[in-house]
Amino acid sequence: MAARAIWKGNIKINSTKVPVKLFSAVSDKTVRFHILDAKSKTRVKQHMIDPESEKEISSEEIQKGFEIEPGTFVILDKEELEALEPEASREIEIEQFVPPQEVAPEYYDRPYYLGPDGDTTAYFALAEALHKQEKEGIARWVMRKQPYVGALRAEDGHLVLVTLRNAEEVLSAKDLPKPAGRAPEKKELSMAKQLVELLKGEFDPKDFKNEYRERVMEFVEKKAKGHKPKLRLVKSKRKTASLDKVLSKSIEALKKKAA
Amino acid sequence: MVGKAQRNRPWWLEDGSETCPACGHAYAYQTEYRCLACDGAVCGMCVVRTVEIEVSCPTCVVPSGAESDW
Amino acid sequence: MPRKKRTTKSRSADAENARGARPFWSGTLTFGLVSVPVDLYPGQRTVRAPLRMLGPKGEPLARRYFSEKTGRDLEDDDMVRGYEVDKDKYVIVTDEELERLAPEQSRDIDLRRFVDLQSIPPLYFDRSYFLAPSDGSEKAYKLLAETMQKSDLAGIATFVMRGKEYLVAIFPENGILRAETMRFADEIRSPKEVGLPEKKKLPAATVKKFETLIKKNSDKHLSLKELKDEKTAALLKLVEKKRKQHKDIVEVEAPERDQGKVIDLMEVLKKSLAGKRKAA
Repeated sequence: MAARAIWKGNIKINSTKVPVKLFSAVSDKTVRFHILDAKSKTRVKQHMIDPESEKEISSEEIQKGFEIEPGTFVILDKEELEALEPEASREIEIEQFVPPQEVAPEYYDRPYYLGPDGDTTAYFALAEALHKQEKEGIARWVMRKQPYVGALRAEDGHLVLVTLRNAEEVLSAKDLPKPAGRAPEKKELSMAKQLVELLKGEFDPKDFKNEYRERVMEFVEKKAKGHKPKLRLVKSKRKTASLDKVLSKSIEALKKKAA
Repeated sequence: MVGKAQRNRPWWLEDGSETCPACGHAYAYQTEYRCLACDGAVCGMCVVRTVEIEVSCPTCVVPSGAESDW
Repeated sequence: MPRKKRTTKSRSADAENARGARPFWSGTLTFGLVSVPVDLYPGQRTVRAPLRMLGPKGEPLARRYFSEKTGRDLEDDDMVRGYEVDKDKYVIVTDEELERLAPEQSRDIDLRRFVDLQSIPPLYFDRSYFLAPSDGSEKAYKLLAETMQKSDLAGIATFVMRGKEYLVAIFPENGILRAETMRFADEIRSPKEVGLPEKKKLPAATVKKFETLIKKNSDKHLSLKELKDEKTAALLKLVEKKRKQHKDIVEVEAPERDQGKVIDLMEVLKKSLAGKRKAA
């Protein structure tokens, strides 16, 4: 079944527009749990209370405030907060095109497929041009009253828009000290390099299966039928052999496997 | 208030990094739900379950325990 | 006892680490027969200025849980998690059961394959974490980070955290290992599943036109101003304006927070990397 579009807009590069529909690229397979009251096994609800009087405060009475100092709040009313919302727009404005490696992995957040909304020629031509030029477009748009920045990419001939995180949200390793401890020795480094080379391959996500999800579902089904499946205790196994010994053993083992 | 029980809070009850647009609750990212209609994030407390509506003819819709007139 | 004054800086620290210096996950990173005990910490924080919920008099409110059925207030110990097997019928699953369901994956990240980091489609990336050495594993940690840094490779593995299995890419950044969780192949839809039309034959001139547009608007580098959080900046500006005008300001006695002490994520990471954090 074809997915439902969640939004419609126009990619805008200078004055050129490409009409598109937006679809979620994620199909969530997470095993979902609900928070329950242990006694009645029914859903839990929440409310806000005044901790002094333990009195419930209804949502109409709740105000929002920004704490400028401990115990001091600036109240922001609904109108003020609404005024901060960006103006609604249907434009996905392209600010610049950059080489894909300019965007570090930690910035990518949520992926969307774009589909053509009418003009299929412009849609596929843009996808092909992005692919040929090996570029990513940096886009800005407003959706669900939120401003978004995203990366416009070509994936297998189709357009993909991945939302990007704010720079303030991502912690940079540059602000962190290098780990303490002695630097590895030359011999160790060359062996580790050899080991990594032996394990080098293509990225194929299909090679990795989410077996755990199946185990959880199996367990839940057994429990639902009234069984009590036994689970073994977790034991951690940590080896303490010297580094270069372990490295050379690993290389040997892998070479044997390959032979 | 910050007693032992607080420190042993399971992670799914702890305050997290995400703010629920519906209730303002700071929830853990790993408990997040996404709306099927708009892909917006929502916390586990605010998520509303919708059921696929299936269309049937009256012959097929027989309330459990009731006799069919057909 | 005098109450410690919190500074504005510490308030902007991540709430995700309000749980304190405890790592999200502790386990062993392995490649070949080499094992590197590590702790996993969040690699991102939320900076959206948190707005507090206040009552009619400006008093900070607290969140309370209660049973939908009985209306009874619930403490932490009164709550469990359950999977809905049928409408309103739940099977209770504990955190311990979830951990015992896959002991190996819950404790180990086994790097069985190394790939070119640039070859991973960004669609897969989910969330960023940092790995810090633990239990005196600094030497093996540095060895792995340095080896990978030189070749621009990422180690690929799966592991279980908080009751969920993740595909994960581990790669070095400035001598520190970043762990980027990824979606599994079956969690990314194909264009066909979404119902996108198939590519058709294109007039070369139209492609050329877009190529020219791209070239004209290309830069060597991503401008960081593009990634600024403008919404938060606007909110803070409004707050500052109202503060100066002494408008809508309420003062209450700062109560102890439910969430306890807020800890600076960067400080935790720095300590952890310096080997000053005692392993649990």
